[in-house]
Amino acid sequence: MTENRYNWKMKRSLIAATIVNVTSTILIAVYILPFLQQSYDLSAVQIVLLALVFISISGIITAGSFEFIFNLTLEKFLENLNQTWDKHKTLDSIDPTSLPPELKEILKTLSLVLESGAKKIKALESQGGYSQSYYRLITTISHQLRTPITGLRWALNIIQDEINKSRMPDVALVSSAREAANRIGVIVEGLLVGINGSEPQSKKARAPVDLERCLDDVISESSLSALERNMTFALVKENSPIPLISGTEHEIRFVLHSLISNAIYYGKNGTAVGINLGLEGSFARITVHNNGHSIPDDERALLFSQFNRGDDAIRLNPEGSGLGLYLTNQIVVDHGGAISFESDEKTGTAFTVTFPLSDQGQLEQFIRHQ
Amino acid sequence: MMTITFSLSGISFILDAGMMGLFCYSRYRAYIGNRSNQITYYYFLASLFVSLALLTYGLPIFFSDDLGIMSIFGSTALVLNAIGFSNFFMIALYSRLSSRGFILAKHILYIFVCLLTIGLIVDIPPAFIDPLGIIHWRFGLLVGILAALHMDLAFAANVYLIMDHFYRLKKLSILNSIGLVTTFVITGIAGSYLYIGDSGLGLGLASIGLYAGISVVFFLALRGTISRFVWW
Repeated sequence: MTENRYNWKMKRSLIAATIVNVTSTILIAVYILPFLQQSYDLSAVQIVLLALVFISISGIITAGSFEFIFNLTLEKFLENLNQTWDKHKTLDSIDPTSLPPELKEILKTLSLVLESGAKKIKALESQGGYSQSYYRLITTISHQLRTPITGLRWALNIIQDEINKSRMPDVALVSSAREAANRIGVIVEGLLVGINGSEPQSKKARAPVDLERCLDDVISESSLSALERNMTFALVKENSPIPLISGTEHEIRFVLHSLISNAIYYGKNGTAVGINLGLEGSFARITVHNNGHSIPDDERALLFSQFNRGDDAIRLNPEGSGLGLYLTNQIVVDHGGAISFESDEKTGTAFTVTFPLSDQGQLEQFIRHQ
Repeated sequence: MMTITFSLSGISFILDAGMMGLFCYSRYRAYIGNRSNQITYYYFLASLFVSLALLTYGLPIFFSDDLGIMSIFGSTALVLNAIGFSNFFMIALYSRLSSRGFILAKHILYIFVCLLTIGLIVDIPPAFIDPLGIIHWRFGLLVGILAALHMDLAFAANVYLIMDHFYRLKKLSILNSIGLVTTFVITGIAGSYLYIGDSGLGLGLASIGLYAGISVVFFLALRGTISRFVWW
């Protein structure tokens, strides 16, 4: 029974650490204390205090060994999970009897979740090759391309109309169109870098990201789309500058693009898209709100599902792919954040996402709130 | 019977403890408001132990005629201070090391504090107060140097961490960033001298330096506390 409950290797390591520490404490008490007493002519009180300190050292080493062993076990477990998943796309080959009960439960839940995921992937594979990382990279970047291209197309149409009527096109419009074209260039460059890189979605690529700058960029890139619908942005920055978050910049940009473009597509013409940027504990929080159609109750449960498109969504934005919110949710969760929404016919729809602050972001938060 | 003697450095230590206590309280409030920020957590722990240490350093002014008690208070304060500085060290280590490296470093720092304690028990410092009211701690050379190095390395690591990210930190609060660096530099120099120095004039100046350094974080914490009620 005991072997089933605990990993024997871990148990053996814990017992070894305890034995080594207790033995060393006894040895210190027997040999070193009398030596110190002779050398420094210590009083009884000093001897007792020294003994207490040696016991404390022993306790610290034992606690450290335990923490280290537990940490090592967890890291090995995660490494094992990643390797097994990368090789076999299943967790069946991990032997659950060698795991502590808590990890066994986690493994069981993960296996169930992955099993259903694997079925979906197999279905996709049968339709043509499937590489999750490249699939996600291409989808995020093509999603990002859509906004400036739509804006550019609209601006060019108006400019063409103006020229046809022998009028000078609006300078601001031309400048916005140029900005959109530049943005497309930047995104395409990012796409090429991503394709040439070996691991485009690697968690190792996570770095401190300036969320506020990303948001400003995305708002600027989306301005033409908003103008097309006669919509404006109402940006509120509760805390500025926002401390750095930890993430992959192009994925963070995708999330922002997705939320803002949805707010534009599904908002009422002539209204404002409210964007609120703030902090919530050690998380950065962005809320994007529009005054538009509410999300029907029966579609809410499937909102973050792949290829899911509600009737309203198909009618209001026929070009949509049904991947935007699915990938947004995936990216936010992958980054250790959360996504939620509130939707009501009277007040409109608000999506809120949170991203954890990076280590540097935590320092920045500390400095600001001192 | 308790004898109260005027001691310049003793009084300055108690004032330092009060100021550091306010800084600690402000860190505690910030930590309670946001338990996930590890930097705030370690600053809170560090300032708690350092303020307790400063109070313990200052208490001997009530027992100035009993050199034995003064030595015990001085040694206890050094241990509390070392625990505080270890927590300051952990702020920098947390930002730089892997989880395994951090566990190792954390326990090494605690063992280092134990080794300092052994040094203090074996070689009890013969502390005294001179006629000018300056406390001479007279820690053993090895203990004094190790404790000073520990403090200076911890502070240097924090200064490096802040300077490394200064470009962004100054945008968030240039006053808080420069204030913290100033405190670390001044208290690092003054505190080291209190551990290893024995000149009355030097110790007096070091006490003033320590007071000045801690005043900076005190005013920053005071400003932060007041600004929660009144915008300025």
